[in-house]
Amino acid sequence: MTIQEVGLDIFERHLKPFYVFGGSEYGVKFRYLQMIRDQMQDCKECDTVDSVIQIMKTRHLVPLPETLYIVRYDSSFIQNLSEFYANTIRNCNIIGSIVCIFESEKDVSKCEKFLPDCTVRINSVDSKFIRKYLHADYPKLPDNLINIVSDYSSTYGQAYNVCSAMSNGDITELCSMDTQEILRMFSLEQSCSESDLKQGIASRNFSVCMSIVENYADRDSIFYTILSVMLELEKLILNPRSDSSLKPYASRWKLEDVYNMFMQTYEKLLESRKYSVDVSGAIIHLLTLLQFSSIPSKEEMYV
Amino acid sequence: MNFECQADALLSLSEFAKEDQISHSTSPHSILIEGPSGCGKTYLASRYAKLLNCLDFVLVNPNVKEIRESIDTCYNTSTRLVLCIENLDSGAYAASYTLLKFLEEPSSNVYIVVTCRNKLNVPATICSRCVSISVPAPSHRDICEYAEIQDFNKFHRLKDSPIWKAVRTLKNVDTVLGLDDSKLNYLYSIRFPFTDCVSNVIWKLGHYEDNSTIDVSILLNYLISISPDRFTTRQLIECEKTISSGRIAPHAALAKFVLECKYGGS
Repeated sequence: MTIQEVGLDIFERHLKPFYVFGGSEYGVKFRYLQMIRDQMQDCKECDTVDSVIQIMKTRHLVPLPETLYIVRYDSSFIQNLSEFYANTIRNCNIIGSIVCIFESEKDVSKCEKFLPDCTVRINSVDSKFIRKYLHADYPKLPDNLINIVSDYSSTYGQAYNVCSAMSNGDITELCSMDTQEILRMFSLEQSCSESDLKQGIASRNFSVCMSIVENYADRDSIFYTILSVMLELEKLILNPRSDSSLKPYASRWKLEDVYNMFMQTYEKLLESRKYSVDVSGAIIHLLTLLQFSSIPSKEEMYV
Repeated sequence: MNFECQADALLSLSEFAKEDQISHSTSPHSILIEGPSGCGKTYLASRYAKLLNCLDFVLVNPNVKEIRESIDTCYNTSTRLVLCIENLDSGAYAASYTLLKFLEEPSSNVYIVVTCRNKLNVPATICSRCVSISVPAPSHRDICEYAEIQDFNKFHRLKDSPIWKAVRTLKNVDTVLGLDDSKLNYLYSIRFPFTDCVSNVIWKLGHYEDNSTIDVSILLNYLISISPDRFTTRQLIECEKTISSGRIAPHAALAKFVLECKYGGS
């Protein structure tokens, strides 16, 4: 099932009795829950799907109102989910709708297997949809601010929270700030990617590499990144027609440099695995070697 | 199956099991089995479970999450079981320390067997709390005997072929006997010197033509058997040692070996 089909159910006011909202994009799940809630008479948070099924199976003197039952991360539901249990849910007369929320890939896959007509994955949303939602949520926020937030946020949830903070602040002052200042204020600056680092190493630009490494999430993987850059450069030197993003930089390297840089990095990686080594110091040492016109071998370094 | 390399270890385990029948409190609750890869450490642990008449034999990988979950299971179960943590020295130190507390205060119904390739890489605090048993590498006779039991015809077809020189452990026997002719021919086509770029060579050394992965142990042993010179053999041995320590990704160690073959050695 797709999120668009859920949207259609909401628009046509013809909601299914059972939904599973999976995936990592919590903001969009929250938004759709709000829309479903608006169509119901009541909303309840329940611990387990079983408890809701029990309510439905119990006879009531006063008829139950149409209610949205929200069940979050019910592991017992996942454990008990089978063809038989799925049929039990389908045959149960649910007054309103049950919406189960899951995030784990394993749980969502199991729901998709037994309840494919009710399960929807809501992962990352395109920035144009984020923009559309934000315009509807915050009509008073200027377009330029919404565009910045939608372009630089990783999820709708994050964008929603940033806009919420902005709408409580001084919008005139925010509009006078430049993009970088806004990104810094709301921590929307993007962390450096592996491809940025690879280009920095291949271009032998020490200052670029150092600025990337300072913000790099996984320092330990930098050793492997350097090794993989060396292999890519070796391939480019031997086969100049190979297709690679590092092609413009291959002419700055000789095979001997590639060999020495690889071996030095490998030695540092081995040391870091055997002894307690200052990983940052080792990385700085390796990046410093990029500044030599000919990368020295380990033996030359310690003569 | 009784192999020469496992005889002494099996005798020790039988004695421990007999001691347990006589007096549960004096028999060892934790055993450390040390031996090279593919010598049958896990098999010995399962034999120990049978000697103790334990119905449950739980195999656990050396990571914190699995060890913690298995310890929780042990505390919640009353039946006798053998908990075997495989190759503890290839896991992170945190995995060893997760096990430490349980070794100090084990449940009375649980027998712990830890296996490792090199006891020096297991923290001393773990070694001191376990009774150690060493298992040597299987002898040529053990390997042939095992191979005959697994697949008599195929063993006799392959025993004089180049690939049989790559068989050093009981696990290698299973791997080689499981290879079809196309995979065997692919291995025979690997030759020194390497002329292609390093990344292509690593891909070819790591994958058969159908893109399934080549067992690293078989690959390295086979390359050692066809190595053209001492320098290459030395590099291969170093590569094998690094990979078996588990601390560096195998493709990085292989890349280093191929680079040394192509550009080193001068």
